[in-house]
Amino acid sequence: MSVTTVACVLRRASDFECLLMDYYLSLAEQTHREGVRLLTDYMARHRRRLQQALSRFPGDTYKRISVLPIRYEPVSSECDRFAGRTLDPDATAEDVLDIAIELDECLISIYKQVAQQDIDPDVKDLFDSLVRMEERDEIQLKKIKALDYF
Amino acid sequence: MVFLLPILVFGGLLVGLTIALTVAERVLINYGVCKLDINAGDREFEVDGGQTLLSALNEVKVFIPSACGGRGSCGHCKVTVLAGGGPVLPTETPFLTRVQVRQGVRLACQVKIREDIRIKVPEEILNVKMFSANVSRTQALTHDIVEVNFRLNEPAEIEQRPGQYVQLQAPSPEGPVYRAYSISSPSYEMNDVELIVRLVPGGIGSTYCHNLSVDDPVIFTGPYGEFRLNEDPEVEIICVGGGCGMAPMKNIIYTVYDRWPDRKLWLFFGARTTQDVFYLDEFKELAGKHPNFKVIYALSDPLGEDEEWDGETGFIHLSVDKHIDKNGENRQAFLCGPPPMIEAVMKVLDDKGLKGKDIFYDEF
Repeated sequence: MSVTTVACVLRRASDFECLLMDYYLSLAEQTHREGVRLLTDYMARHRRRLQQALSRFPGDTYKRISVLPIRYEPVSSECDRFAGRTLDPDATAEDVLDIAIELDECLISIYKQVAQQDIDPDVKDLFDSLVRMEERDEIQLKKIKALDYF
Repeated sequence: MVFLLPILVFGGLLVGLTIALTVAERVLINYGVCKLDINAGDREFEVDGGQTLLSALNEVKVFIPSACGGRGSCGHCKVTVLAGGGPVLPTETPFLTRVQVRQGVRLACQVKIREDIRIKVPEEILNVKMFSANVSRTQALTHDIVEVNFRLNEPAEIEQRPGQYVQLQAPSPEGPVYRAYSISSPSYEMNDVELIVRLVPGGIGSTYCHNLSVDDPVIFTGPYGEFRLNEDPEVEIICVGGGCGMAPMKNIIYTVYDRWPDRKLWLFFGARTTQDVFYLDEFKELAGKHPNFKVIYALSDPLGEDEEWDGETGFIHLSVDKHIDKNGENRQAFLCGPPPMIEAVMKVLDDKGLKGKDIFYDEF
């Protein structure tokens, strides 16, 4: 396991979030299914969890924790595979939700890896909060899938 | 196997240590009896310290909504702590806005009572009761949606408004959990409560409801919810539901036509296929008696070869767009369905001139 900084892990998570948003927006543009368009458009606009979590921290606290060292093993094969995933304009809402749930789990694993370490309490707070947010998103995605509206 | 052993030993030690710390806190640290003050002296109780605020409130029969059984994963049990709650925990922050944190809003399940505590809750919460009832009827509405009726025992009557919900107690391996369901029976039926429940694979509450049989005993708390139907009969009501988001609409429709037979009311309901359609014939019949009741169902999936459908097609927000004109005045809307549907309908209603204060929604 390598050592890096909080800022580095957050940058990686933020890049991943941007990739996700781009993915959903591209799908929203390319799909010929109205349900998938509605769903992906919604998911793209509700993907800014990192920004949301960081906004709760005063600037000086973030400055302090961003340079702190943490152990981090780049995760995981599923997350990396996502980068190379091609868009399928025929994807159904169920396909999209399955992918979204899988990707939420990637983010959860990134955040958990840090939150479980013996680290500065502010860093722990931030990553605990991110884990909760992503877990909550995952539950909502599963509910939307079960409701079978799209 | 040799490699697994140290991991198992370490894991076991961690679990053991956690249990030991929890037990030690309960046994060794005695917070004594603490004062719980609700709404500036309106209600005062003495409760055992060391427990969570949510369980203390339950103990004194103040029932705060909570869907996750106090695990801090639903974010429903919000109360305002004015004094004695300690700092906000990271487990709470995902559910609170910055404004809420400044106002002292907390998750009752995460606040531990360690000293006297003063809280503020909406007045209506103090009227919430725990009901015991028996299942009086169950009816399958579609392949995965069931209508369940409860006959109340104690208390024998419920005073509820359309749009309100109850929290049904369901058994789970980790003890009872509560799940929220909108009341579909009209408010004038005071001895019964009816729910409409879609089966969510693996869902604790919905599986429980789908397995209920006549005479089974049930427990729930309620009613909860702040929606208030506009009492002015000149105000037009627009109900929009999707998937199985029908329960509050049914309550609104029957309550409205019991009191104002000529009131204008739109029901828009979106489903995927003809197999997901329910109550259509019943509502068409009601519309026959009340000409100002407009019923519009829309299917979003293409029809099968042998299927017949004389309703609309496409997603339900498109039907709302088609039928509602751009006169936002004197209208109130109630929406119920998955969040992306709610968002799409809100946008349409906004375009039609409805103000945010006149739009209420029940997100799944």
